[in-house]
Amino acid sequence: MSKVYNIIIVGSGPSGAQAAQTFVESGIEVLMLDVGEKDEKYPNIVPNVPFAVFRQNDKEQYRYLLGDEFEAVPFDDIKTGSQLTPPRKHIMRNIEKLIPLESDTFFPMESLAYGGLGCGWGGGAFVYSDEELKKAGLNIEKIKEAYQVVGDRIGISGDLNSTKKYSLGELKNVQPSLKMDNSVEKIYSRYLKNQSKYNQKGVFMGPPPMAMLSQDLGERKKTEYFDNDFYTDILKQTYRPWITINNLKKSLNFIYQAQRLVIRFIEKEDFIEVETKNTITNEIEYFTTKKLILATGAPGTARIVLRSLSDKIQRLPLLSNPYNYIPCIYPAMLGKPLSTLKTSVAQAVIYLDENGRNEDVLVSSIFTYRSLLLYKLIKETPLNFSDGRKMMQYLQSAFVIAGLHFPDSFSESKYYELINDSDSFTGDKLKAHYEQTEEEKLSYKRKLKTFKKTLHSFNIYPVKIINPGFGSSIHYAGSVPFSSEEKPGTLSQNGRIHTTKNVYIADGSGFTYLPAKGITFSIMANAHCVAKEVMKNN
Amino acid sequence: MELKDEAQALTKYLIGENATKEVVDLYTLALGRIDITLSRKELKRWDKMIKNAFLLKVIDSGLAILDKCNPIRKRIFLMLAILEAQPNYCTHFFQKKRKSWYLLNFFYRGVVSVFYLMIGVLYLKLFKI
Repeated sequence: MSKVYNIIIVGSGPSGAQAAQTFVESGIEVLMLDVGEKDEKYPNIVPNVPFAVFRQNDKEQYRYLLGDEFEAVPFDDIKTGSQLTPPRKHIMRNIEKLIPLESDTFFPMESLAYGGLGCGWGGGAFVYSDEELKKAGLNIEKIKEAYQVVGDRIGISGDLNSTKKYSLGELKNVQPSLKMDNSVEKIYSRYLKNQSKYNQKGVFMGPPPMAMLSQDLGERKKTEYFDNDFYTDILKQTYRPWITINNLKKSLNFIYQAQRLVIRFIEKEDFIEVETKNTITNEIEYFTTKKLILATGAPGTARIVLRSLSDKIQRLPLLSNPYNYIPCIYPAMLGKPLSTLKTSVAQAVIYLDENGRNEDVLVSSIFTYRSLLLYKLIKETPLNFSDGRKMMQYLQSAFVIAGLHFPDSFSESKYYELINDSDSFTGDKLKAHYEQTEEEKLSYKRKLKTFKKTLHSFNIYPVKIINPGFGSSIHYAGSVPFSSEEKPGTLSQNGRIHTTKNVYIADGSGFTYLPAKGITFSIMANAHCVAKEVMKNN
Repeated sequence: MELKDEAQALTKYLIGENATKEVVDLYTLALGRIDITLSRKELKRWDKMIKNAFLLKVIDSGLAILDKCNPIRKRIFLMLAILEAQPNYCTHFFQKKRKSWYLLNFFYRGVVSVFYLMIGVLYLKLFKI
């Protein structure tokens, strides 16, 4: 028999990286299995100067703005991932080949990258409220502790005043919030002047909680507001899971094995066999471990669980926040230049808490538009390209984009299944179906209407509501939900898959409800909790 | 029609300048890497558009409404992307500063665009493209 590892972690994304750090810091040997796609082309060619400066100087800019193969020019309709810039395109490399998904209703973004979807994370680091944690099936006290541990590791900046209860909860050691640009600052001033009126209507606004540094943290540098965040991580100002993995690789008790796609697990009496397929040679290889931690993200975990427990389960549920983005015009900024120094990420967050209970809160991140380039916006206008360019030159700084997330709950019409596909790399394909119930559709429409009214109250006027399709929020959970009953396809409170003895899930698959707030910080906190539980049971 | 002529016509149409050698080379390179094939009918139309700036604008306007993902639009869009990623042309894509006639100019542009849209739609319907 091959070497028996203490722990095997599958996946190097946010949850895999945090679980690994918890084990490694406790002296436990970890093998991480990953496909590990990397960007080898672009990381060293993006200059670290303000966006407006390199635009007028760098002759090679087309390479990282459009791509050597022009792969970032979005010719077709907007879909999940179409806004990825060339230095981020590797996030989705080989997805269709290695982990195909079939659906007419659900279009997720998955990743086989070194650092997973965390390579393109916008950095929104929200703490769930007690009510949300309870609905998600998470242990309130343990997760709160874990938020602090993970927050200290990755560095969080944000607002500890007005919107604390929606953003950072009781988190400590928080860095000052990032500066807003002049456009959103103007909107925020309006909010502050009329705060009590807004709050009475359940509207709250503040700087976003971010895993982006406003002060240096170890080897990582604070943001310089160069507006190049979609193109480079040169300062490591935004947390990326690969930063953790790079550091863990320096430890003797951590082994990283790339080019291995995990197919299934086979649980034996005292150990687990992990079947992998080499993504270069196509060879099947087995690894052996005492405990297995799945951290590939909810759709990836669903694949592995459905294959491994095919005799017990054929279908798994899914959760994903419905998402719209709403390009708006903010007339107060017409003809006024946008701040030269700004971040490219969310400038502020609007929370709509209609019932005041901090549970089914609608969350909208507010962006301004510049570094993704104007030609993509011009394409969305019903004008010829020549006039479209001229019109957009007038409107550019007055554009405000509201990215709107809705909470999600289980229903019979949202699920994953595995179907045979002899042509695929794994011999199968994940099939997903996502359909809202009538009640959800009504609630969605009503909330959208209320949100549009809220935007009007800020003197922001929506031009269009863009629905990129279900799955485009890139927030996935709930495929193997927590349950107190020992039934197949569910998780125990400590993250162990029911009916297995030593297989755990550290990503968001266990969550039984998906708040509209970004999930990443919570899955990292959960991964830390799962790792602690595994060590407790060891 | 040579790609050099296409690049020149499109640059003139999109930003009112002549295409540099870099732009022509990039456009040629891009069309070698991205498959934007025009049908025989589209190719015939495309040749006319490249020779006639007015027709280029009219058909682009009509397609923006009737068939925005048409390969003809994709070719123009590709050139638009290339031009924005050029240091010597990028200012054509920067925010226009507010001057005294700012709003009037903006509305004038809007009216002209709508005029072209109407002619474009009519043209495409009449000639059943």
